[in-house]
Amino acid sequence: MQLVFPTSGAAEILGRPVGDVSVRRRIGYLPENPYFYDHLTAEELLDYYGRLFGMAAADRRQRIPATLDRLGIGAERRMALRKFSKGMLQRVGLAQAVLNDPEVIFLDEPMSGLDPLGRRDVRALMLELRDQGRTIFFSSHILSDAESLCSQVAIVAKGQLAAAGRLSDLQHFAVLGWELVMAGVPAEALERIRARARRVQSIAGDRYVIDLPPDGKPEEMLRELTAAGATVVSLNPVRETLEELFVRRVAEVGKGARA
Amino acid sequence: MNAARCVAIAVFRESVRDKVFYNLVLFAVLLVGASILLGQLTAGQDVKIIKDLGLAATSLFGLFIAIFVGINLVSKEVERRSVYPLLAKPIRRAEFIAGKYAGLLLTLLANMVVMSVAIYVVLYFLARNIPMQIQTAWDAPALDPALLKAIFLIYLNLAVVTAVALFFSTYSSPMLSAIFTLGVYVVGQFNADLKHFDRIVDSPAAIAIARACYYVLPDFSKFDVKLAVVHGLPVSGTYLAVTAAYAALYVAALLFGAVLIFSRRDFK
Repeated sequence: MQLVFPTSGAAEILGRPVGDVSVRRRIGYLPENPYFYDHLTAEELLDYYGRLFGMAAADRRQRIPATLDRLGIGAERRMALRKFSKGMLQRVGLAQAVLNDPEVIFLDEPMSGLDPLGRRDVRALMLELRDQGRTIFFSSHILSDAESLCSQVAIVAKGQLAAAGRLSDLQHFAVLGWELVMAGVPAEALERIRARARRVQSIAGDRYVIDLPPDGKPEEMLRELTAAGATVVSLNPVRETLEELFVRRVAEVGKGARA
Repeated sequence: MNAARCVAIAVFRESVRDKVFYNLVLFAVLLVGASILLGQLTAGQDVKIIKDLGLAATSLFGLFIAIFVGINLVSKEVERRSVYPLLAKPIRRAEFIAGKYAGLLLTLLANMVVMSVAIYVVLYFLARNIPMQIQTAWDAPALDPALLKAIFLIYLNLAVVTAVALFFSTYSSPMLSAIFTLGVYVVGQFNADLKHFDRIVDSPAAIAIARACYYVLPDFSKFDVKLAVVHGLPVSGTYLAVTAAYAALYVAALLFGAVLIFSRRDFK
């Protein structure tokens, strides 16, 4: 976007150098905590940006209402932006980022300031854009968002790239263990399995969480416990989450910096 | 160029919504109020005073707009960070600066047109009841088209002040920009005196600084022909053309500097 200039090196986007102004016609950008002009309405703002994108009048008449509809901005579109809440401004920001039907979209903290409904809408929009074959580049501190949305992630710690690639390549996808939840387990059966589990913990009611190591043979345990009269609530493999990956990689960067 | 035009229209729209309207109302009230008060004075004298007052007010109110809108043109966008989504659009930074400048010039133009009309309307009502024999004895007719020459030069003056404000606005805060711009304006008024600073001061350093200021800063007194126009003295077309070229040179240099600074600026 050329908001900051590189101290060294060069970058390309869509096959053109980043300094090429014309390539920005094909790019959408939402800054963090976006701010627009107080005195304009949402419609006028998009019209202004539409003109800057070089969109024809007919094109603007069609795209602007459609984009505002898509972002759930209703009658408020005729109100001055100074009356908008942070969440509404964020929606306007997203609207201007997709107005020009961009091929590549940069979203800086797109979920910030949004209520749960807003976050769901944004997530749906991002998936919709992805399904249309667009590339979305977004930064977030909310790792669960990144985990549920991203095909590729990069972790930046202290200004350095700590990891980058497909989630499946970065995470330890091997099973780290099993989490078995059972109900109505007889006391003597519980005692029998305690030695083989990493942890047995009582949760609500008569339910127990049984934490097994990767080689804990959950099938056998299931058979044994059901034979003793217990019922299965759930059985899940435990894998590394993005959060754990993040903590691990950032710690590595920290160690590297100290070494 | 399309991008610059969009920015210019946006600036015009913003200033129209924000400030200029009140400015004009104040101007009209002032002028009409003054003309009623002056109605008591000798005929002929009040027409001159209204012309003088009208031109001075046009200049002053224009100066308010040029400085207070001008200093915010760029710095407000940077401070409030509305510049991020804007510069992510297909627009060069030079186009951004040019658009901002053109937008404010347009605002000033609209402002001056309304003020000029107000002056002529007040003058018309003032001279309406005065017999023709008396009017012919005046230095200049009441509805003197030469007033437009003075207004044209005031506009050029404001164009230079706007460029100064915009230039400072690209790298310093609005407060500092206002002080700098006002400083340049005030010193520019007395520019001619700086040349002959050696007649009143001995310090060679002070004389050198004064000389440097004289050559660098614009001489705003060149744009002031109010007195001549009010007293019916001629202002030649050549003078207007030369002064216009002088203003254009300053504006070009200042805009060039503003673009140069703004194009290298990092945001974040």
